[in-house]
Amino acid sequence: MPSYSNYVFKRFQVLLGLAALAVAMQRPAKAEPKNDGDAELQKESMRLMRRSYGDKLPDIPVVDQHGNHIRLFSDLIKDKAVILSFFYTDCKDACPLTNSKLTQMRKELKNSFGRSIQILSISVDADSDTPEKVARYARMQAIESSDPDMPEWKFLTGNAAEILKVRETIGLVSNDVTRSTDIKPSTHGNVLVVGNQATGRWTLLSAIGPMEQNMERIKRIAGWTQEVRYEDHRKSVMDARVASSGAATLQAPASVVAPSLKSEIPVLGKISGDLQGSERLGRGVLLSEVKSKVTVLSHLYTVCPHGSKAVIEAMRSLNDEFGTHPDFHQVSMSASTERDTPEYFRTYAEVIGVGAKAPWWFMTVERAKLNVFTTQQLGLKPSLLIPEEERLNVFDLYENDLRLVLLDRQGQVRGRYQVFHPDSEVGASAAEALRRDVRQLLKESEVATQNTLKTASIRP
Amino acid sequence: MNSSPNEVSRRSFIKTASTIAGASVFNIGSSSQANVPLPIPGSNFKGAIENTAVPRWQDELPSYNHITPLSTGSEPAQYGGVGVGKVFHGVAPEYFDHPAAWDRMPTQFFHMRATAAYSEMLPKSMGLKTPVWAYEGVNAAGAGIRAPQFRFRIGQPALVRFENTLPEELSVHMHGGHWPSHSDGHASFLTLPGEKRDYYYPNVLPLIPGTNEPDISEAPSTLWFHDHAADMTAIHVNRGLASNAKCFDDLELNLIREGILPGIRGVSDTGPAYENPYEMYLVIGDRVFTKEGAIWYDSNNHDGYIGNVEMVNGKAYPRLKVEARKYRFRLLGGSSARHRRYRLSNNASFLRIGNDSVMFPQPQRTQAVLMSPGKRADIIIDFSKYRPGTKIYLENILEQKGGRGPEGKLEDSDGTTVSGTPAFIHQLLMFEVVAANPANPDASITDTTALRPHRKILESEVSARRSFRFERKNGHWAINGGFYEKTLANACPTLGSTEEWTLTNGSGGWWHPIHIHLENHQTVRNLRTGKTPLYHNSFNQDTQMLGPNDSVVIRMRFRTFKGPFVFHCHTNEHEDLEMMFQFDPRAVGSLTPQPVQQFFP
Repeated sequence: MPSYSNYVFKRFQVLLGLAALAVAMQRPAKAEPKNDGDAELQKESMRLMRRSYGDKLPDIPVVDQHGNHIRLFSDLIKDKAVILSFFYTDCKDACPLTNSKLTQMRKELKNSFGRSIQILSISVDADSDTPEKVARYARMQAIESSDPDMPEWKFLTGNAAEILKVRETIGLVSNDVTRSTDIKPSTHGNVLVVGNQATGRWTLLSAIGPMEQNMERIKRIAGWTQEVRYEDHRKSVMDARVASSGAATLQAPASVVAPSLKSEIPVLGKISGDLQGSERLGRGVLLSEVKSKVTVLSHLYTVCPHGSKAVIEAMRSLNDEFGTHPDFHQVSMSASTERDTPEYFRTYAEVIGVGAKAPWWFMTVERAKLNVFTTQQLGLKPSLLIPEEERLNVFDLYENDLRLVLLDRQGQVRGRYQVFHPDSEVGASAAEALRRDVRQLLKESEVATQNTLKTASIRP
Repeated sequence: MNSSPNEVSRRSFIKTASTIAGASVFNIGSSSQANVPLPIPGSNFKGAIENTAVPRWQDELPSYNHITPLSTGSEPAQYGGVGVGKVFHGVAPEYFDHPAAWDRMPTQFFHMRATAAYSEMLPKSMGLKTPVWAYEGVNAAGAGIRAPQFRFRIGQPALVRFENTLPEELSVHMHGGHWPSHSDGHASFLTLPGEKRDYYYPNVLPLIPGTNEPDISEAPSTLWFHDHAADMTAIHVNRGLASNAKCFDDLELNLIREGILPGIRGVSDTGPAYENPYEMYLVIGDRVFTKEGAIWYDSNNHDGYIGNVEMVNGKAYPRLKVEARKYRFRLLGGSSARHRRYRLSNNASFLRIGNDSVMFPQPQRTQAVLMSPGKRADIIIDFSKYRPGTKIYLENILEQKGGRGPEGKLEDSDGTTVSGTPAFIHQLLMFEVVAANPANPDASITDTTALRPHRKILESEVSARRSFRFERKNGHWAINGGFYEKTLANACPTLGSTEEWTLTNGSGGWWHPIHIHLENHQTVRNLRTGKTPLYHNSFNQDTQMLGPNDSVVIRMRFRTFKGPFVFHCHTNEHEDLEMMFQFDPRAVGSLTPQPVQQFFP
């Protein structure tokens, strides 16, 4: 047996490891090419890794539930993340179950994908499933939603022989010994084909499988970014390690730490430089003008297809709660000088209900300067140019660290809060933690806190 | 598309091949039988390199290289602790908490990463380099070791720090060994991109039931490792994430030391390298290549991937100089779906000394070996009777046209004799005999040499019976009508008990090689034919071949490690598309499925 002291020492190492892990959770999940810095090889390898689903799919004409005539591949699958499901309107067992599961998945997918994923239900009995029948069937599923972030769900029919060809191409109908069984409409069962034609990752899963596992797999297979792909798995690693350490007082990431466990707000760094930019209407401002206030800063990119919406919502709720406090200030920073101009920001602020006098700046800053400030002063990750093939749309240019940064009156960084998170509960708990910390800082006297610099952040 | 340069170069390949072989690409073996070229599979892909365009026997057979430990006995400084800090996925709890007997010899500490690289899979004269994903050992100086091969020793634990520098999730499965759940390479226990996992291989033998004696009848010799990440195994292995390991125990080292098994006395029986020029892996796998030399993979195909170019140790149609003496080869079916029946081109018999990981009690003389994906065969070929200059070919004589499996029934191709001329012959590797080095005496193994004792599992030991039916359902692959669920243990045996499982292939015509992790199993009988297994299938195996409609009764014990572990079809596409279940040995077993008792994501 290992000696007792050795055992304890190793347990202690586990604790240290967990602290480091909490930090590790915050850095980008993107794997950097480490093979002698050969980025080209990595890229070539990825290009070749791309599976050929879409490349071989027949681009057949189909009709959706609204009577639109569209092409299956070029309009619905090319460069998209999709869930393919198969149905026929007379189906009494598998389809209703699949549809109810899809309804549930769609609501959850909204958080990490928004409209960057879509569900396509394709009729396997197209001879009898006329566009009218399919339209009626779709209405019965009550899939229409006024939520602009809800993934689209299309019910499609077309030519039966062509749809059979699609099922053959994606492997659901084998051309080998079991073809006669595979070909029957009733055989489609609860199988979902999930993938992302742009990244080339695909799999099959059973719609009636455990919802949590299906969501994890859909994100892992069809996710656009490493962060979305592995979010669930990372979380389960953290949960498992906390559970296995057996110590209830262990500090896990904030999303799983009860608020009562946090008694003090750590100091993560101190601002030493200044930031210059243009506020709405072109007024030149310096961050040092508000240095004696409790300040929340964040990136903002008004046409961001990812999480800026969640960020602006969190900023608005802060403004609602603390906007009248004389010692509170907010700054939204954008480097998109061509789009987020001071003039545009004036309109934007009005639209979201932020008056010109509100203690909230919308700063347009030169990209290079902003990058230096956010990385070196605020400790955010650098903004990364998104490779062309991974962009969701033409505005999707940079991947910004969307965490909100809290500065105290001494210009010290007191927290970085990931209010945008694929798991909306994690995001909500981060936003709640931020509100609580702001409240506490505003209550504190102006006497400098005696906190020593702590390097490990346990904040989301 | 400008295809003409490719066409020109393709013709020049054939020309080169013709020049070197002095004849056409085919009929160049010593066999009078035509060498049947493999067709490009599927009708959808037109841009592949034809089998006939790949020249034969030009490049030397690549070998696997010993991955050297960073340190032995104490953790290397560059680790910064085991299972802690930046090792996101941690280490098995067994590493900290295990019986003292597990540390008979000082632990070896390794470092391995998965990385993108180029590999010359096609003959050099074709001038094409193939981008692959590869395992790479890292030595103490930080340099990479390609085609890394572990040399494990029973009684000597190993700790492998695995680093994933690729952009997709991975899981390293050490196939054929007896490992903790955390380190087994479970489909859902991943190493995420940019992260690390410490794999702990204690290299202990299970105990003989009711005693404290290690069961040497189960000591593994022939292991291999490959990616096992859920949904992604097939494409990852296809891209190159596979290598192998040898494991030695006192009994096997003695066989080498006494000159019974091929090797150099004082070298091949001595760690940590156990270098042995007379013993090597032959890993056979098939691929389809694009004109640029990239591996082409069809993820639409759920039947199972079939290639039209055969590789041995990652090189298409290589040659190997062998001395006129006995050699030990470890054949490994490295394909996704292709089954093969191997023989020598002159139909000479050879000795088979093991199936999967474990050696037989006594060699079996045979003219052929049938192997599914994932299976291994330990064989001894005696070249001493051949004059230097003789060329002999390793051939596959089993035709397979798609992922479904080879033609015919399992028993049709599983015999030990080959009579007449096979209808299908495809040559894989050329042996070229040279004079023996008199400094190294030949091995003395004969047909009756005693090898590894066998301990048969008796019916009286069986405490529970379970049945699993492997079938095609709803356009994908199912077990008992269900699919893989990562939180569900489909079978929960009691730790230390013995069970009898019936594995039934219900998918009308498809072949399924079923691989069960953690333990070896023993075949009792095939219910379809009513027959007891042939000699080579009657000992310990970890992968059970199921031909069409076969129903095979097996017995196995569940020892040492708590679950969960997976069992699945080793046709990797079938496994990825859900033909995988979990079993979870635990203190108190259950006949009904239960939640898994632990989870190491």
